[in-house]
Amino acid sequence: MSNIQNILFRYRMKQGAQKIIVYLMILIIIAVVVFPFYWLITTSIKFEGDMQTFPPIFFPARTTFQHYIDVFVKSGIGKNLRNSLVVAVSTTFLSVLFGSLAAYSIAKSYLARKFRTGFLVAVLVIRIFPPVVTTMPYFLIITRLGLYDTLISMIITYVAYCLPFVIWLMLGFFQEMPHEIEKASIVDGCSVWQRFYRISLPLTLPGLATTSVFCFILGWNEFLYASVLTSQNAKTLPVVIASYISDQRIQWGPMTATGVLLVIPVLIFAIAAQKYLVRGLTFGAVKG
Amino acid sequence: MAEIKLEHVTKKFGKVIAVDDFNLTVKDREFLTLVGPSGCGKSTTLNIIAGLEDPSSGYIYIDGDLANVKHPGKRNIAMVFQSYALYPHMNVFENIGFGLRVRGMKKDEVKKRIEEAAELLGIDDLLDRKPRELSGGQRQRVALGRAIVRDPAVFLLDEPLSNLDAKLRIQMRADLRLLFERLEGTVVYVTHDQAEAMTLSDRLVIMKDGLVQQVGPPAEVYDYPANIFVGGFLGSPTMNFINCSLEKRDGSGFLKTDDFEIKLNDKQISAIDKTASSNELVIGIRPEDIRIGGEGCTISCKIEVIENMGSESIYYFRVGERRIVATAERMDDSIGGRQECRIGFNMAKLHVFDRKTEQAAF
Repeated sequence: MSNIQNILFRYRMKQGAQKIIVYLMILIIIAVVVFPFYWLITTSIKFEGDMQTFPPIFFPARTTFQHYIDVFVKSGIGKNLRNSLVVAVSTTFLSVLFGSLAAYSIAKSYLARKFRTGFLVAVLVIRIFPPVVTTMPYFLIITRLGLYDTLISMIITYVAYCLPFVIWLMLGFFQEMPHEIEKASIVDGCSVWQRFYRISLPLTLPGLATTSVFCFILGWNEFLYASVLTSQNAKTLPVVIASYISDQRIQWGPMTATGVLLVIPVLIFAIAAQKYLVRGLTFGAVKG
Repeated sequence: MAEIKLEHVTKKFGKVIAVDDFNLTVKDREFLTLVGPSGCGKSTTLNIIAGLEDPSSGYIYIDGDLANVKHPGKRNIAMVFQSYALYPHMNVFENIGFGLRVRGMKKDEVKKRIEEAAELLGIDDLLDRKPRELSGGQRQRVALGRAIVRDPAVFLLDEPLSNLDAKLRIQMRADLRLLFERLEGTVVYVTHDQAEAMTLSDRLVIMKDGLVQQVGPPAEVYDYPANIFVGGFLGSPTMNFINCSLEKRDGSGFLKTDDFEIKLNDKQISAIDKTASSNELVIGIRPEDIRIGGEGCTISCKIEVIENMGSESIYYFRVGERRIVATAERMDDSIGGRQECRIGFNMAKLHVFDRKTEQAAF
């Protein structure tokens, strides 16, 4: 009996030690991921003099919201915030709408497999080019079209960039749908459009959630095209943040306050969609 | 209700011929079953009637109208699928009424029809539930409800019982039969289960490799199979097949095997002479038509295994190199394994097939 007890004790100790190591690793990873956001938030409420001290102040004893007041009231960031929202929401809506429609038609069409594969490869090629390679051509096209410094120019650009991802992810979801559900809706009298929006779309909510979050993040955070294609009227928040860096100094306070503002909507959106996100992300990795 | 006519319907998938020159008329209010092994083309035929597949050639008429050019939603058919195909994001009420709402029916009328169908099927207390909250049998009833509310001319059912457990399947078989008798519908039913086909149908269509093997009422097809495939497909345990050859001597005809011979009457010999291509034949005898022991049993054998099924037993006999299966009422337990005994065939129920063409002589 004592031998069995010894074996059980050593087994439990081993399990306990393994658990501690795993939890420690998880804590370290969480700390690494969360720390930048924590530093962003704390810096945004620090006084200027406390921002670049050594050793760094991790837990500020005194705080101020002056940077937020400077950003909202003095800098008039409301217009840039509106620009970012319009661009991100429009990008998300249009990308998900047209991407889903494209994916649905590819999934359900009678095209030969060869043609379908070629089309999908062509769509994916769009994403292979680094954005910096197409920045100048985009600039030339946009200015020739008279769309420089307009929200439309960015929406068009971002939608083109998001569509391949939406098509590929949603295609997997539509292909996974049982054929018999589709057949049942045909027998019930549904047209193609009715089958799409009444049956297929509701069943692919995880895919819609994932692609929506991805498109929103891209539209909200994108900097390169926004800095090239805008100047005053259509400037978005990432460009505003970059403007706080000059050759003379970096305005850490307003920059971090604007950074916090930049993070919050995406955080809210992701929290709202998280129920579907896990399924959407893991599924998308397998099908396509 | 409606008559369905299929004329020279063929369906090819590349080089594979799934349905080959299918000709059939389903009478108004008839319960017709397409039965056969997997891959025989029965589901493809059903999908062609529904309009979910276009035939490679041929014509489909529903109630006299050419259906080839009609969208499935316009053919006045309703379909129940093997997996039920309920819409997971809708509750039972919405699932049943979906087809009616798509057609623009008024809400009050939709509600009325749904409630009537739910009461008929015994699912009126499940209307708020989602499909994932239902058992297999309940889902099947919801799928039936979705078909019934449409009041279609034709019901198409694609193996609706195959996902149920054995006990529930038997119960649902009877319920289905009663339901469609009450609805007085024209029904085309697909199954691979020959017991289901036999019990539900007014007529059977037995298919193999895209071709129709035989069409007829269950009793006729069971008692007079057209070929070896039909004989072996219907009935459980399956029909015994024994190779033999016809030998004529002393003015009589005999079916001779390696281990025994059977004397034929004049009518049987005449039937063989008319239809068989040679003297190489196959005896077909159903397990229930084999007598065990008693007068007239002349075939020596040894009992290998006895399976006690409760009210009856299945006997596996060794006759020479072959095994013959028989069923009989449970005998007393004094008859055990490895016993020598004698069996005999009910000559009125004997079948003979041409070994080359596999067609029945009688």
